[in-house]
Amino acid sequence: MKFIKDLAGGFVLLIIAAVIGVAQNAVRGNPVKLILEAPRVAERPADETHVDRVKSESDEPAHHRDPSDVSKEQLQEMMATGMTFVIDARGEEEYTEGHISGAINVPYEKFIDYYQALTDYVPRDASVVVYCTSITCDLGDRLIIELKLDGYENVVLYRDGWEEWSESDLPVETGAWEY
Amino acid sequence: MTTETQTIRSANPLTVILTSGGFIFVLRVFLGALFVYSAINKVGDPRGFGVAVRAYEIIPIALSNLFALSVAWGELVAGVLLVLGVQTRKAAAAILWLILSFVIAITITIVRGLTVDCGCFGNEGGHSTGYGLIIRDLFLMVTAIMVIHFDRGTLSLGRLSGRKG
Repeated sequence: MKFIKDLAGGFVLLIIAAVIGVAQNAVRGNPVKLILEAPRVAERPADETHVDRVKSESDEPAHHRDPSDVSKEQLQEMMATGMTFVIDARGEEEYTEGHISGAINVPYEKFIDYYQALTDYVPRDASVVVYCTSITCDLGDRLIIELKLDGYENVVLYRDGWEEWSESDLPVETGAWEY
Repeated sequence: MTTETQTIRSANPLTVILTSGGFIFVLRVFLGALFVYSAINKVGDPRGFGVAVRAYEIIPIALSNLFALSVAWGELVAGVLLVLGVQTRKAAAAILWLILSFVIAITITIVRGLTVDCGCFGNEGGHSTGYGLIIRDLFLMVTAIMVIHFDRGTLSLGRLSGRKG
């Protein structure tokens, strides 16, 4: 009984702490938005896992594509204008081994580490294309969520990603992103 | 203290040590300090911790920042209270709730086949979710339960000020 009472007390303590946190956030210089407006990105069934997505690829390749996705031809056209930023969402090692020519590297898993470089380099009103390894990689989708939450509006995904691009004899580069 | 407890203690020296005021004091300060340390990055960089929370794909995106902020401050407040020994049992219980939520989140990511940065100490990187983290968290849960059950207010501010934990 005493243990239950302590657990209830602990829960109340967490609520008080949350209120303190919200109050502190309100007075800090650069507050975070408490309630976010979820950006529109390619949706997938809520109960589907990454593994399910890989399995379903052979049966129905276009199942998880989003109408806003761009093809390699569209990406080439966008790159030709010189007005589009291409972002590789994969890890540093994969990027260094090979990436689309001119692409910068913002590994989703190190988004915060790269945040300053990203915002210095890419204006928020710029046209941005994100890519990952292939349709089975969801780092691009996740990076797009973070970019849209941060105010980047013109962001689309090249879903077939590095695998298709590198097999198509299109311009590639190696080496780390120097920023 | 019941006669039964006294009998067990007199029969088992290990139990006497593990439930002694000194040992529970060490556990209390260890647990409190760990959570204060863990909270510092998160409180200082709630945006980064929000990214870590969203990576789990469990909390709705709309509420992810609010949840991140609540967890960060929950860790900080409970950790500070534990180190000081003020409202000790409630603070340990708060930490128990937090760790329980971490274990559930990590288990869900494992079952779903995701590997994400755990965000355990903010968005510092380098610690991915996996069974090792669950074992670590279970150890911390046992520590919190021991503090809740056996804390006697050794070297606590709450006792010095005449309050109970």
